[in-house]
Amino acid sequence: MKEIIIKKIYIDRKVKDRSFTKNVLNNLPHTPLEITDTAPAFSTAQGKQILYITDYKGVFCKPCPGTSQEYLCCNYQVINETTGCPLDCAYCILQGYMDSSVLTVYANYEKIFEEFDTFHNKYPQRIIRIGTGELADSLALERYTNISSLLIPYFRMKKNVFFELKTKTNKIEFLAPFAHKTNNLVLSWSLNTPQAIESVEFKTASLQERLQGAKRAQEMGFKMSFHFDPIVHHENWKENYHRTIERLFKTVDHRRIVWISLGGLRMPPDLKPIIKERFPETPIIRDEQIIAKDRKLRYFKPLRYEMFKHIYDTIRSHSKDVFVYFCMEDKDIWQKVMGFSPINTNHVDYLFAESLFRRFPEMGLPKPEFDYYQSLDSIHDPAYEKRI
Amino acid sequence: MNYEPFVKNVSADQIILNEDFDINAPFIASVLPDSIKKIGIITPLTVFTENESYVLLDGFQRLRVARKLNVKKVPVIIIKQTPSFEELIDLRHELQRSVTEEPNVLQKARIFKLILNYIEDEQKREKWRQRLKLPKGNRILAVLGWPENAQLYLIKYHLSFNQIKTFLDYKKEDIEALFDFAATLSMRAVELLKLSELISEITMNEDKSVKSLLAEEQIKKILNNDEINRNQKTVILKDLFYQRRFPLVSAYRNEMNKLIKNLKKSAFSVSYDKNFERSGVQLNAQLKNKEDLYNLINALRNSETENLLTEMLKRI
Repeated sequence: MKEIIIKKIYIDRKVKDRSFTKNVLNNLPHTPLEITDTAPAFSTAQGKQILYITDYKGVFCKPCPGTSQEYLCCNYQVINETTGCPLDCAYCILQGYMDSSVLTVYANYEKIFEEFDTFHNKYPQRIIRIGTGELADSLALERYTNISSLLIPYFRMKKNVFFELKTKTNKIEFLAPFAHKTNNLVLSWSLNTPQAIESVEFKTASLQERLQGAKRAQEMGFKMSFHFDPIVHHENWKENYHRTIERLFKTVDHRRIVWISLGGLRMPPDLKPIIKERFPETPIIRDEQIIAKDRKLRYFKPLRYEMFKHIYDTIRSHSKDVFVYFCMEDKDIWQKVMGFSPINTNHVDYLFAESLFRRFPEMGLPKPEFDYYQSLDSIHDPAYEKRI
Repeated sequence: MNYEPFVKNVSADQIILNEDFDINAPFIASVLPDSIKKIGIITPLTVFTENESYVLLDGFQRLRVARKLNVKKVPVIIIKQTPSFEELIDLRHELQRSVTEEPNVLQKARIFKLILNYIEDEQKREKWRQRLKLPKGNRILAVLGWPENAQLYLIKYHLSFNQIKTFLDYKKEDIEALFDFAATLSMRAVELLKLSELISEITMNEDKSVKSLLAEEQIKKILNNDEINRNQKTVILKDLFYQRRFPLVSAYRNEMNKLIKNLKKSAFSVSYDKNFERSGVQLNAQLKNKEDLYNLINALRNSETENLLTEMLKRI
């Protein structure tokens, strides 16, 4: 994969003396830096080479924003420890809604521990899935920020928690100190066909590199997950996704895969002109997409169904047991592709828990009860926002 | 800015006319000559003094017409102090706002051009951009090079930059073709914007120009068909463009429509989500009496109806 280059560091005056900041500066000794009182503003393209260190003023740990309740979500928890991604995928949502385009890391990351402790203590019986990689690639900036290395020692001590790092890179050697002694860390790769990677996932690791990364993660004894998200419609997609899945299961032992997600390409309509301007040749703005129930552009449903069905069946031909779920899809798609549909988002959460409990008995997870999961807060519970 | 404006009549030749500050297109004031000929200039021009000359700030059309008609003296409001460029732009903007509540896109583009020419500070430019509610980038200046038919359309329908952002990268000949097309069909802004979105995507996908798309024989035939009215032409063209942009969705819709056509629809009508995102079909029936109810029951019991509805459900 292409080298991530940081051309300049901006440091919020308030955090210049923090140990986190000093560590980043040690990792980037020759990079020009500027102490500032205001957040730097750059274009999207320029911002991908600018690192800004500041304090995060909001809440680090929160429920995955998901989408409208017309589609099922899964009650995943996200940590926004970094904002902005240097990998520059054509479909990236960050191009559209980030106020600032620079790569921003937060020196007050320790707040994550307080926030998660509160959440974790509230749900002693719950199997919690939480991860970074929502507003950034989890590992793309690791060699400069070491943020994952700071989070892992905390999360590895947490019972009933799966801590997921999501990436499109292959830089995982920093994990060696945690090898074979961290059973709740999930190394996760977003996978796509080599053709899709080449045409829309610029600056990311190739499929071969990602799979080699996964193989290495397996050797280090970590659990893994894979996200076929976004699934991109392209010429020969059937054959290409088939081959990609074959390569995946040839490379890793399916028993170490905790979950696999499927999600079709989707975007807010406002993102399309931005993509068109930044990547005029990309095929993703040329396909047939309709405005879906959540007001996002999605592939036409019969096409989504065809793609999901093909990919799901191929995965199942390699593993009958690995947990496969849809990210932000409706009950119809679940029903038609998998032959059943969860009744709501909390049901999806329960199905995760049930699969993890059954497949990883060595972790001593609490036996999930359907009623308990139904009673949990959910982003699709209308009263939820009021309660928090 | 502190100044003491006062009004007096000065010689029309004494006034310096800087085109940069004319934010109105010359063609929009075609009725002015007659009015000035008949009753003279009623609203004074606005000028400021610079090196003992008067520099025009507002009233470009009036001064041009006055000079053309050989009017010797014109009334002016004189700003006695030479303002900074920023104050000038501010004044120009406010003068426009006193006439129309919100400047149109052409006027905004001209004000923005002034800002780019006279203000170097990036933050001040940004503040102006926000004040004028302009999108990012300098593409908005493209409207200043648009042909007259397009500029007149923008003014007539008071379109915003957000509405015309797709067109900002078009070549002049494509803009001309698009707005000629709109004029041929007396197309309202909302219709044009809907159609142009499809046109834009078709031209992008098929790598052809707007001009060549709109010059296609099939489209010309519809435009020149005297047997159908402009509304019908608009609907047919919209359908045509949609099918071309969304062939897969259109094929599904055609299949559904064929099935619906085959249903005996006297007892109920059928509708479905045209984007196929919502599952199921809707049966709509109005029951005014028992006979309507029995008709509905019989229609649904009919095996042909059942087969057709089953077929429809398979496709949804």
